[in-house]
Amino acid sequence: MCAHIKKWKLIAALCGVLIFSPLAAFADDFHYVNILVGDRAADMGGAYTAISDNAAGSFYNPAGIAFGQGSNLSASVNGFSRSTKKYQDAMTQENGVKVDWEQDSSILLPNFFGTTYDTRLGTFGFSYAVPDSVQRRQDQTFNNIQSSVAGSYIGEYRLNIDDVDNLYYFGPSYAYKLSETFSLGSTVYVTYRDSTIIRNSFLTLNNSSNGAQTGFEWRNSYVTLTEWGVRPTLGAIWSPREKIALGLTLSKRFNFSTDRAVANTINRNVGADPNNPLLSLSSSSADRDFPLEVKLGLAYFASPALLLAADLSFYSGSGDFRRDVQTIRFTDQTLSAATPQSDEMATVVNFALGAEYYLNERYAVRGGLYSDFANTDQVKNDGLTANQPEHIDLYGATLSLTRYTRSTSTTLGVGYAYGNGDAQIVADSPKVQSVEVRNLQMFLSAAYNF
Amino acid sequence: MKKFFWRSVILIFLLSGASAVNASDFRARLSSQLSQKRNLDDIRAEISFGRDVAARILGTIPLVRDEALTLYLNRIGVALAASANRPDLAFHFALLDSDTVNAFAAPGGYVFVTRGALKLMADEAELAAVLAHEIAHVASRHIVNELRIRSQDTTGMSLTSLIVGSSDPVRLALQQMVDQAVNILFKRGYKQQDEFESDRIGTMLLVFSGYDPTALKRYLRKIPTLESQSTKDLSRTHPPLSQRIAKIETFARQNEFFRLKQGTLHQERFESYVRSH
Repeated sequence: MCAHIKKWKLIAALCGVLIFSPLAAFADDFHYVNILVGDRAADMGGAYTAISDNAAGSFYNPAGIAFGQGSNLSASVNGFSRSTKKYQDAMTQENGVKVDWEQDSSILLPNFFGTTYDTRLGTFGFSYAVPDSVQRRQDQTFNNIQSSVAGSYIGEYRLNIDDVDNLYYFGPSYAYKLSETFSLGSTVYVTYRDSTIIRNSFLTLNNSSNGAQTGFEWRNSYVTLTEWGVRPTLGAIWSPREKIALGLTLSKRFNFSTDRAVANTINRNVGADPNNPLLSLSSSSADRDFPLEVKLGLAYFASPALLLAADLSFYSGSGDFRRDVQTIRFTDQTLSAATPQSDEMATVVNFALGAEYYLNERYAVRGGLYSDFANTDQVKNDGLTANQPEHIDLYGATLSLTRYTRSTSTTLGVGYAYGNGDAQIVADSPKVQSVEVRNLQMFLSAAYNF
Repeated sequence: MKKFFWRSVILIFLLSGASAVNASDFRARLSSQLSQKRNLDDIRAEISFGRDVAARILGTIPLVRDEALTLYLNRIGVALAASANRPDLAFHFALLDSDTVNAFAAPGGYVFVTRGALKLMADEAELAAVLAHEIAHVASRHIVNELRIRSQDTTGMSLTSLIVGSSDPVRLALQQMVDQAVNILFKRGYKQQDEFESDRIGTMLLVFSGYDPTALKRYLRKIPTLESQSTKDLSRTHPPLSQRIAKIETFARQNEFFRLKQGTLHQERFESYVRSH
């Protein structure tokens, strides 16, 4: 019996080398600027808190829709969005060659639709936004990987990933211009998150001397999450002087319904050990806490052709991750590494800079720079701590061209974000990997004034 | 000559203000000028739309069928409109058979003044002042801009096709827009800045036509002395008279109208046409 336990511990350790801990497998909870929403707003890198004078203002600063040039309808599509995350030296082959591991997500996503309607009682709006979305499907095979079991190596490791995770906002907005220079507004979004994470992995353990297969492990993880909540936003815009506008928003997301289920199935067969399937099921309805968001924006309307804008976004350190959902763990782990107890998000301050320049009445170019800092602590590389959430700070840039007609605008743009940091992709291992992220977005959007 | 030049510059500035980005609205972007530009189809749409609005006005208040008086109104109005920077429009003027003190302007150049308003006027300069104010509403496209009347409507359908269109939804959409225009004229009123702008432009048109530049102010000062019933529509659809008068005075002072030779009143001619009918 003791021998069996020891053997299983070894296998568990072995698997620990290979079962990546996809803390960011869900739509990215570690960053706040996962998808730039809106048409003009996205083009300007999200520096839109003090502008917000079209339908996208419902998302960025509802007070701004009161300053719209008539009623507006806007829809935007990220024609193509691709995110690549490379974990460097994630694995080592039998011949000593280090192997990187790459995750990618591609999606064609309509991420915003909004409309505003100007009345004498104020400006009303309704919008739909998708601020975060992941569709990740991967089928990967790795061969001849070093194992921690003496005299053995991993002959074959297959990993199938099928993740779909979308966060939706939809709801009404209202703004009222108290004077020609000051407006207040509010958006109350209903939030809905729907996630399904499917991981399927299979590995063989082979004898180092003759290559004969001595065991296998098949592991399946199926995680579903449904969250309903609200996200009220209060906003104000003030023009203290001609050509200058200041914007301020406060918002916080509250969940009122959570339905989470985790099913892990493990089937192992090593040497003389019998086939021994393990099944663990768990569920939870605990609602998560989210940070308070405070955004401050400044816009300088230098001329009818030139507009400059800057935003600072503060996210409080409250809230929590879904570590228990996101981490695939072994019930019989053997490593002595400790998991950090605190799941709280760190305080984050992001910036965004945007510019808009009209080449003429029909064409405008826009660009933006923005940060997307991680809300996690720096990853400790102390050889003791495991299962830490990744810490990757991102910087992004956007560039777009818009063509106007009398009542419509069509925009084509690109956004690119890059960042690097540290992660621990191996479950229950204190090993730290360098990780590099590249996000590419292509914007396609249209707006209509009526 | 120099004064004439500067007055011309001011008038052109005032009139062109309606078709350019408002300098005070610093949020307006360059692309918004596209929506202000007009083509021939837009002008056709404006005229056709205005004709429907005018018909609705005449369906509400009957016309005074006095050929000589109508001709008189038209002579004065057309002379004023010649300086209004809208050569694309043929202006028409008519008298409405109502005791209320009011005047209306439908897009496309259809201008009406009520019998009650005419009764309140002391001379031709005051009549010209009221007509000039209404001409300014038309010239500046206040209703057209507010309702975004143009050859391309919100569904991409041309307004001209709306007007000559055959389907019921198309007719319904047109009727709804006409309803909104009539609502502006009879109930809601123009935007305050549009009223003030029309006062300024109307005063300039008086100056250019040689009328007494204080005529509009004189006329407005008489309105509060009337019984409330006949002026209640005017009060509801216009900014407070005291504000309008104050702004006209400021405008006149800024442009040094006091240096002008006394404008004409044509009181006798007015009496002969108006009082005799």
